[in-house]
Amino acid sequence: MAIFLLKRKRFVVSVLFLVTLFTWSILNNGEIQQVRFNTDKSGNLLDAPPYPPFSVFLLGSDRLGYDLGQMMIVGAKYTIGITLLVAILRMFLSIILSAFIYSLKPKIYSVLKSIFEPFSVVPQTIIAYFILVSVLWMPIDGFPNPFWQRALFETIILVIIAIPNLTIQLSGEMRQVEKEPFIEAAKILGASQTSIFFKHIIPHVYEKWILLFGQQFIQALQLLAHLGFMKLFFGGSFIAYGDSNDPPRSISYEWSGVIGDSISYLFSNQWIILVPIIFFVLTAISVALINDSVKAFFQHKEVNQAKR
Amino acid sequence: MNVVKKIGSLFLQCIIGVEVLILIAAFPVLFANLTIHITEYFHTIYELNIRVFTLGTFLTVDGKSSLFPFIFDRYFESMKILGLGIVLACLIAFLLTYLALILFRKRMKAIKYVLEVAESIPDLMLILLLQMAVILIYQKTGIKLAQVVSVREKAALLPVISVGLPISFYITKVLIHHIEEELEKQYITLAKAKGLSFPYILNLHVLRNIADGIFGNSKTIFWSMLSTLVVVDYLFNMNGLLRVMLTGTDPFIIGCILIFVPFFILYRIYEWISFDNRKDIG
Repeated sequence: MAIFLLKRKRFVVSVLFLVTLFTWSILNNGEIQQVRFNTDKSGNLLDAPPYPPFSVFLLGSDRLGYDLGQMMIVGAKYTIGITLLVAILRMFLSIILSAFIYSLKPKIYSVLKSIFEPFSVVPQTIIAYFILVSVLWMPIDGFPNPFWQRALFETIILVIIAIPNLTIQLSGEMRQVEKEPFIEAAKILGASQTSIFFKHIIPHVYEKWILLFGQQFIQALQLLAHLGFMKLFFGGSFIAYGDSNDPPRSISYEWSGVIGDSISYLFSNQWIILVPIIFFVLTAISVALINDSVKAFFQHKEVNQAKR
Repeated sequence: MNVVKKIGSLFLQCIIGVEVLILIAAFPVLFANLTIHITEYFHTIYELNIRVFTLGTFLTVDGKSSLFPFIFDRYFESMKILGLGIVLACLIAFLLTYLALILFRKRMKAIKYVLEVAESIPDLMLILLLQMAVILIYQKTGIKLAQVVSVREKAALLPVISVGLPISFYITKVLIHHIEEELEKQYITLAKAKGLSFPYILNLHVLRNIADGIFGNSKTIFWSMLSTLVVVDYLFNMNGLLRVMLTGTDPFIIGCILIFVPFFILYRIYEWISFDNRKDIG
C-alpha cells in the first residue's frame, strides 16, 4: 500500500503539505510579529497597516499590522487539529453505533431511520449555530465558563450533529453486506453474531470507512468555516462591548476566526480575507487528493484480485 | 386499506420528525451556562409541544409581533432562490456532463480528477471568491455584473449563482458516475449495433434509466444547498428564512418545520410511487 501511494505525486505533496503545516504550527512559539508603522531609515512614514502582500510581510498584514502568514501558521494547529479530532470522533462513534444498529429488525430500523430523518434535511450549520450561539457568544459581563469547557462543548456538539446521518449511512452499508448469501452460509455453519460482524462484514466495509473519514474531514472543515463566518469562533467570540466598534475577535488565531474577523474588509483590503481562504482551500484540496489516492489504491487492489 | 395505513404511517413519521426538531430546539435550555437543567428542559419541550400542536402564538425576536405572515414571506423568498439555484446547478451539471461525454471521452480520468478537487473546495470560499471577482471587475472596468449586496435593491443573480455553483460539481460527478455505469450495460451495445447515434442513446435510454439513481442522491444535494444558503443569506444581507431562523427559538422551530415537513412528504410520496412502479413492472 505504502509503495503504491508514495508513487503518486498528489498523495505525497498533499501529505507533506498537511504534515509540515501542522508540525510547524506546533513547534512555532506562537509569537506574531507586528509592525505598527513602516518607516524608512530616516524615519519617514512609508506605509501604515494593513500592508498588502509582498511589501512588509510575505502575505500581508491585518488591520493592526500583525503578520498574516505567521497568524495562519499559529492557527493551523487549532483548525487542522480540531477538524481531525471531530472527524475521528464522528467516525468512531458512528461505527460503534451502527454495529449495534445494523442487525435490528426492519421495523425497528425504519423507526430509527425516521427519528434520524430531520438531521438529513435541516443543515448542520443551522443546528450547530443555534445550539452553540448561547454558549460561545460573549455576554456583556464576560464568559462565565473557562475556555476549555466551551471548546469541549463545541467539539461534542460538532461531533454529535453528524452522527445520525453517518450512522444511517454506515449501518445501511452493513445491512447491504448482511443480505449477501455468504452471510447466510456462515450463519448455517454456526458463526455467532459477533464473529460474523468482525470476520465478514468489516472486511467488506472498512475501505468505505477510510473514504468516509476524508469526507467527514472536509465536511467538518466546511462547518467550522461557516460558523467562523457567522462570527462564532472556536472556543468563543470576544465582543468588545462599549464605545469601540471592533468586530468580534477569536481567541486563538484559528483560520475561520480570521475570516469572520475580517469579513468587512472584503471590499477594500481583500488579501486579509484571501489568505485564510487560500489556506482553507489548500487544506480541503489536500485531503481530497489523499482520499482520491486511497480510492485509486483500493480500485487497483480490486483489479489485481480479479486478475488472480 | 393499504392507502390508509400508508398515510397513517406518514403522519406518524412526520410527528416523530417534528418531535425530534423540538428536542433540538429546546437544547440550548438544557445546557444554558454549561450546566445541566433537566427540569427546565422538559418544561420547554412541554411548552413547545403545546404551542406547535395547537398552533399557538409564535413571536419574532423582539417579542412583539407575530411570526406568521412574516415568516411565510421569507420562506417563499428563500425557496425561490433555492429553486432557481437547483435549476442553475442542474443546467451547469448537464452541460458539463454532455461536454465531457461527447467531446472529451478519452480524457475522462483528468475530468474526474478536476471534479474531485472542485467539489472539495468549501462553498464559502467559492462564494467569497465569486463576490470578490465581481467587485474587482467593477473596480477595474466600471461594469457592474451583478448586485453584490442587498441594500435597497435586492441582490438576486449572484445569490442564485452562489447557491447553484458549488453543488453543480457534485451533481456532475454523480451524473458522470451513473452514466458511465449505465453505458457498460448490454442494451447500450445493442443500441450501438443498431446504428443509433450516441447522443440519441444518451438522451433517450440512459437518462431515463439513471433518473432513479440521481433522485436517490438528491437529498444530499438539497441538504448541502440549504447549508450554502445560510452563508449566502448572511453574505448578501438578504434576511432570508435561514437567517431569521437563527434569531431565536420560535423562529428556529417554525423554520425547521417549514423546511422539514414538505420535503419529507415529497420524498415519501416519491418513494411509494417509484416502489409501486417497480413492483408493477417486475
